[in-house]
Amino acid sequence: MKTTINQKEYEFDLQPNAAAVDVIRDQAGLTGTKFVCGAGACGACTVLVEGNPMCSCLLPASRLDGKRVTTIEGHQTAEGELHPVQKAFMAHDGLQCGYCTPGFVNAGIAFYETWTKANGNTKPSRDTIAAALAGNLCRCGAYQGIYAALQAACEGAFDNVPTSEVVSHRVEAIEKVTGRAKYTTDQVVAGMGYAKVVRSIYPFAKVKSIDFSKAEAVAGVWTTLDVLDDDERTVRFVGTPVAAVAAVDAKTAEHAASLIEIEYEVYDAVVSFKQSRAATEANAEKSFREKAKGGLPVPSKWNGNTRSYRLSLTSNKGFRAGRTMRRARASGDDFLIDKNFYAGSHAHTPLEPHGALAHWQGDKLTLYASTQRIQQLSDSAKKRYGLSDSQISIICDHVGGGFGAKGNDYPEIWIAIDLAKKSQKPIRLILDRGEVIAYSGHREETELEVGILSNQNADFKAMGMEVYNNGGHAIDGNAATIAATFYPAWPQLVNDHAVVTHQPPAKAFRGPGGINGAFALESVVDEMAYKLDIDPLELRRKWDTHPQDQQLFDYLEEVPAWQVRDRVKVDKGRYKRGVGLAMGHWVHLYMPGAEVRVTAGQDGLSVESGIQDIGQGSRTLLGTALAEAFGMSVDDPLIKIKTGRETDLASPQTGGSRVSSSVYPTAQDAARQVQAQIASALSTKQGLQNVSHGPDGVIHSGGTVSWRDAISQLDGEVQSVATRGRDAKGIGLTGMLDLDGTGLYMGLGPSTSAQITEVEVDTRLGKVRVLRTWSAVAAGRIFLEEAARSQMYGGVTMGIGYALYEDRQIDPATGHTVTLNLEDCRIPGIGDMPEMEVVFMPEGFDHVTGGGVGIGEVSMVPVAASIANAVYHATGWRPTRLPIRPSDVIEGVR
Amino acid sequence: MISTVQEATNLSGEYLAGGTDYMDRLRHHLVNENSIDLNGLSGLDQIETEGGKTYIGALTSMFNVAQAPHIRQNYAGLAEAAGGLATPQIRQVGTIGGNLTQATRCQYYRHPHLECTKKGDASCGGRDGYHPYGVVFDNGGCVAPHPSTLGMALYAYEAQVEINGADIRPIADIYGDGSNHHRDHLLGKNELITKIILPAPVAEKATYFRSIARARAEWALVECTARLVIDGDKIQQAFIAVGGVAAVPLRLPHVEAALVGKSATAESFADAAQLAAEGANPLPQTGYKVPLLVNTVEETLIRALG
Ligand SMILES: Cc1cc2nc3c(=O)[nH]c(=O)nc-3n(C[C@H](O)[C@H](O)[C@H](O)COP(=O)(O)OP(=O)(O)OC[C@H]3O[C@@H](n4cnc5c(N)ncnc54)[C@H](O)[C@@H]3O)c2cc1C
Ligand code: FES
Ligand code: FES
Repeated sequence: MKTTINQKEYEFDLQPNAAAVDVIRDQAGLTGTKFVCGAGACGACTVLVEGNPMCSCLLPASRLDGKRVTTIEGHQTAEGELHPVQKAFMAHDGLQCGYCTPGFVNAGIAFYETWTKANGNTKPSRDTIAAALAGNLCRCGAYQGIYAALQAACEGAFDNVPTSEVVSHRVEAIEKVTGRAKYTTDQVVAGMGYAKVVRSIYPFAKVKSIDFSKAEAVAGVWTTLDVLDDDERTVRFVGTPVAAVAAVDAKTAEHAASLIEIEYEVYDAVVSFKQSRAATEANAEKSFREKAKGGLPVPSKWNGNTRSYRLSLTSNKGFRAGRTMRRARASGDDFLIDKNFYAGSHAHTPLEPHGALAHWQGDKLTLYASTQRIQQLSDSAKKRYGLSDSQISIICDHVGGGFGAKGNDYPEIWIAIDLAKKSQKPIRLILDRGEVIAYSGHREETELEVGILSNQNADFKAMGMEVYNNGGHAIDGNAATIAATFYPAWPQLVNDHAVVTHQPPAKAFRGPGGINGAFALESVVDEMAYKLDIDPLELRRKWDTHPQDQQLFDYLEEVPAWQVRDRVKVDKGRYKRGVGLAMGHWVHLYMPGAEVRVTAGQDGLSVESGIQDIGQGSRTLLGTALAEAFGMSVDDPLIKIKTGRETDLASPQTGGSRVSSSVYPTAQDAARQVQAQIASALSTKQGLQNVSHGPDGVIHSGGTVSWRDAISQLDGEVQSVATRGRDAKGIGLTGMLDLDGTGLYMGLGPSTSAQITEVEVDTRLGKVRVLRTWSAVAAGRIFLEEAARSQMYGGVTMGIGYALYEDRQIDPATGHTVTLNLEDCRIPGIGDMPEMEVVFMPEGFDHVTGGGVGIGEVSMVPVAASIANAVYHATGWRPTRLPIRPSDVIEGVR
Repeated sequence: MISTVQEATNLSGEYLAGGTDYMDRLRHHLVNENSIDLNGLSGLDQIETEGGKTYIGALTSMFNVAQAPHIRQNYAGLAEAAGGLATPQIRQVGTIGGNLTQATRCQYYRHPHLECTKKGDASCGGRDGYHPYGVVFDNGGCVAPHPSTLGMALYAYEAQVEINGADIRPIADIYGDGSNHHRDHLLGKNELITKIILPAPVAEKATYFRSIARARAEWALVECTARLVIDGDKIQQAFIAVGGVAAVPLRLPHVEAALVGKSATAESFADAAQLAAEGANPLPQTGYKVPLLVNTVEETLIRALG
């Protein structure tokens, strides 16, 4: 078959029923085209065939015969100029992790061409753009930038801007809009084979035997492996890896995997939340106590299949709170509100699937892995395989999203390494979408029982919250613990109960515990405001007097939609609009041991850390820290940023919003140390007098030598490694959370946020539409405003998905995840986006090194709660379940 | 490459048109891997008129059905259905023939380890499992509604399908009454849809509408095509079809009857729509679809009137 791709002729030999994406990625090597869902739902694989956008994952390869195909790599002119749409995506930050970007850019270009042909250089409406891009999904939530980019491109704003003059907000933006960025899934090593994992199909069973003989007899199979990691040879949830196979190609590996015969002794499983919660000591599944991992090492006790804290860490005057609540319940206090909430399970589903490519050369390992913890992974791998520092290198230049799902050393990484070791060949193991959704990360399902007591003076008397967390086969959940930090001054008795089941273990997911806890607590606070007939914002002002939060309220109070709202507003008629407010808190974490190296030499300045960029912009953040110190721009050719690789430097994992506050000030410290070295080197070399240095360069009695000149005169290199160090105040969590080996600290003072949301509820069709959001965040100094803003948009977007659409479901009879694809795990699309406003409040973090903390988590915490409160305001019906599906609205609003 | 209908129907295997359904099921090992590629059949991607009727070749893409001025002007309920389903990328490639004969979208069907009558198992796993997207007219077997948006729209147009270039059948005949829980349609192995035949256009108010949770690109919870022929302000004829609620697309003759002779007002629409759910026996998780069906029909009628 002959095809022209990006103006180049190709001739392909086709396998029967091959898909276009395989030919494009594997045969033509054009890995800018991404494979995400394989089902037409996400559009990441979009290519243009004769200019028309098509999903290459569902397109028979034979359809490319004789056709002109354009992939993301093919939009540059001969002079290397990018398409206006590509430039616009760079300038308007229409991307974060970048994994969806090739698909969006291609669909966007198809739209741009049609639009400008028919309408000239005019601005399309958001709705028009939403219709054209309805076939593309972005998990990071870069939709605001995408709207802005397409509108600007269609208006012609980039027609005459040379690519070199486009100002982008991430240093790697150009690689992402051209498809050059290599993710783990795109890495190729000559002679590599492909692996497939065989997983348990039972939730609870003993593996009696594994017969590999049929699989091994298949031509092209290289090796097989028993990978069951359990000392009792027992699987404890559907999807537990049991065996694996590596073969010459993916199809052979998959076929051979299906021939591996596993004999099970099937036990009675405890699959459903309900069933497990109901268990008593008499019928408890005792194996949970020994085998379910995780949880804070706080004194706790078991009852049935539920593990509860003896006393939660964050309870305040717990005894008094408990007694006050009991009395109020007994007396039927008028100012008591008791309510139960439910929040469903929620899959991270980053668009880049989990995966690794392992390559042993003798006793040296090169590992490509999609991870949120390069440095920690390196340490575990060294330990596991007895490797020295020089025997391992990890490459993770770009990560197509994680959100917590890649925040552990997931088993498939070890399986790839083991298969590579056994077969003595490079092995690639990439999970499919079903594996990503079902087994590779989700937020726990929770039942939340919350009570709050006030009085006619609107005082906060007490709060009680008991949260039951179904974390699957893990001790998981901290919603009550976090909720108690919202109004910390008041008496509260909270507890988190981990209900263990034979379901895949949950993983920390953006704002873990914060989001569901906020939904329950902020819903009852809202309800109390109505009961007391007080403006919900005023009530929060009264209850949360912290100056940091008062500044949030000051801003939100001015929001026009809030000012014009009625106290209790129930529109007549079918469409009902309402506004809701909610607060969000998140702990502030950092890694005191984090190290950053800055090097200066004649060829420039470099900054190095073993951090990874999963789309939050950490590469740019680090580069900016260096560039700023030297009074340069991060795009300056002198600035080199080394991240995404395993190093000798202690580096934070991405998670808990800790990266920026761990590395930004540290990079600036290292930069200042290097500046001193440059100054002294220069003064020795040139015999300068009275040498000091400042942002502009080296100052001496004869004037100032700019940093640029100073560097160019260096003989050899100067270098410094700085360590973050501890802030004077805060609590060490080393060992307690055991998230990484180098010490995780909890700093003093939470990052906080508050959001107002305006919704429209279509009561006829049960549909909730988020029209606008206003988010105010207090996290101190924002190091990189554009990236932070994008992250905020992403958090709000993800919060909308959690509040309204996403619903990961398990079949109760078998323990299998039912919602295995992106069609059923309904993540928000571009048409679901409200207009968003975000403000950052810089005050409140002067006591923190660098003056600011992360916002990744806190951005998402209040979203679902503020939507639910807006639905109440609109309809008079209070949602108590997430997601708020049309079925709930139809049944709720009568 | 196959170039005639006869060649195609003499082969044994499974037809491959746009591939948007076939290729997905291929990944789930749910197809006959002997694909019979229809791509080479010429003339089947045209929209033509003859003797007042309209003939849409089975290989016409949904994008082209949605865009064709002739269809938009005369069969708005079909054009809007074709333009409102799936995603822009899928509509580019997917064909009208493939849409009518696509396989069920039930999660249990595509899941490798769960039971589904459509893949030959004796019972339906979704029945006692997860089925909020299931039917409201339950007939005791498979709980999944029929997936085809266009099949539903064609019910409202009383369309016919041409099989193997010769045999002509009413659209409803290719689906039957939904009692066969192992099949998505009743075409024989060697039967190929070659054309869709639409009756001569009439002056009508018609539209298509779907109820979904997100803004776009989501499988319908309930969907409806409504056509009203109005004289003065009296409804002369009404054609209402709904999807997402039963094992096959449904016409709603009692709703139609309640509309005929009434004036085209919000009140008569609301009254007639009430009858849409007559006889509904929802599943434990689909109760909400009963009011949603009524409301979606009402909404579609209001939008049809414009
Ligand atoms: C994300 C997504 C969302 C979707 N949403 C919707 C929706 O809302 N509503 C909806 O209706 N559909 C929806 N679809 C399904 C889509 O419309 C179908 O996949 C498409 O119409 C199938 O057409 P095709 O030409 O690609 O069929 P193919 O995949 O080529 O074939 C599908 C089946 O039909 C058979 N077949 C094809 N042509 C003929 C013929 N002429 N005669 C007999 N048999 C034939 C094939 O043998 C095969 O079994 C969606 C799909 C995706 C991926
Ligand atoms: S990978 Fe093709 S649409 Fe998702
Ligand atoms: S930027 Fe869209 S998925 Fe990450």
